[in-house]
Amino acid sequence: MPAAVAAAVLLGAAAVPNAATATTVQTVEISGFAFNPAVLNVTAGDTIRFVNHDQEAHTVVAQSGAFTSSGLDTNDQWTVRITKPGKYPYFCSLHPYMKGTIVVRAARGMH
Amino acid sequence: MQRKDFLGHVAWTGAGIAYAMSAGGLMTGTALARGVTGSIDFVQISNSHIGFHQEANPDVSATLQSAVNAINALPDQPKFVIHTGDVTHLSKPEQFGTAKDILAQLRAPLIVLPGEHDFIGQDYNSFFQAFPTPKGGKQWFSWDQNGTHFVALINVFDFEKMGLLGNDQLTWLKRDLAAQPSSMPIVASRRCVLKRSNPPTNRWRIATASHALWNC
Ligand SMILES: [Cu+2]
Repeated sequence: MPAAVAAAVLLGAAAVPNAATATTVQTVEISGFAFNPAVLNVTAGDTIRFVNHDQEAHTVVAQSGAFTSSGLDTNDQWTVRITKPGKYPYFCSLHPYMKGTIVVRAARGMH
Repeated sequence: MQRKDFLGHVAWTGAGIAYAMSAGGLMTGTALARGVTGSIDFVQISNSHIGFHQEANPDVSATLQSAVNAINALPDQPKFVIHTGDVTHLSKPEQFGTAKDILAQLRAPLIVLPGEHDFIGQDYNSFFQAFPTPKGGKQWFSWDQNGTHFVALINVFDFEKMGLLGNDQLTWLKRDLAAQPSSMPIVASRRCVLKRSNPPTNRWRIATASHALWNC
C-alpha cells in the first residue's frame, strides 16, 4: 500500500482573519462512486478533507479550475483549504458523473 | 469494394487483441490468448493501470509483462502495437516509468494513447514525456499502413465532457479524412473504457471512408 497522499492547497488571495485560531476540518467521504455529503457547507478558511474509501481511484477537480487533487487511491486523502466565499462545484475527472459542491460562507467579521 | 462497418467493444483480459484487415476491408479482432493464426496487422492492448494493486489484479505489471511476452512470441510480428489508454492508474512518475520499461521490450513499433488515468491533475506532460507521439508535437495524428489509414484521437483532454474530442481535433480530423481516397479503409482508434463498475463511455469504432464518425 502506498503512503496516504497528504497534499494541501491554499486557495484565494484573501487572508484568513484570526489565522492563529485552529481551522475547522470538514470531511467528504468518497464511497460507492459518490461524494458524501454531496453538498458541504463550510466557512471561509476551513479545511476540507476528501477520503477515498473505494477500491477504485478518484479525483477531486473544481469545475472552475480552482483546485485539482492528485489521484486518490484506496484510503488516500487529500485536503484543500478555501478562503474565498462562493460555490465550488466539483467532479471526479475519472468518473465525471461523480459530482459535489462545496459552499463557502464568509467567516464572521470578514465582510 | 464491399466494406462493412465494424464496431467492437472487446474486454481485454490480459493478452491483447490481434487485428487483421481482410481483403474485403473488414477488420477482425481476435484475443491473443485464443491463439492467432495467419497474419496480424496490429495488436491492441489497453488499460494496464500500472500502479493498481487491489484484489482484482494485485500484480498488473506482471500482467502487462506477460502481454508483451505473448506479443513478442508471435512468429509474424504485428506492424504495430497500440496501447489505448490508462497505461497508469494514477499518473505517477514511477508508474509511467514501469510502463515504459515493460512496453519498451516490444519488438514491434509501439503507439501509446492516453486515457483519463494518465492525465490526473490535468498534467499532460508526464504522459507525453514517457510516450512521445511519433512525430512529436501534435498529440493526435494519423498514418497509413499497408493501404489502411489509421487515426489516433484523444478524448480525455477534458474528461468532464465525457469523451468529447474538442473543436481543434475535429477540425483537424475533417481535413485529415477529406484527404483520403474513398477506397481507403479508415480505422479511428480511440481509447476504450473497460471498467468494472463504470458505464462504458466510449468504444472502439471504425469510421467508414465516407467520413462518418460515431458518437457515444
Ligand atoms: Cu471517481
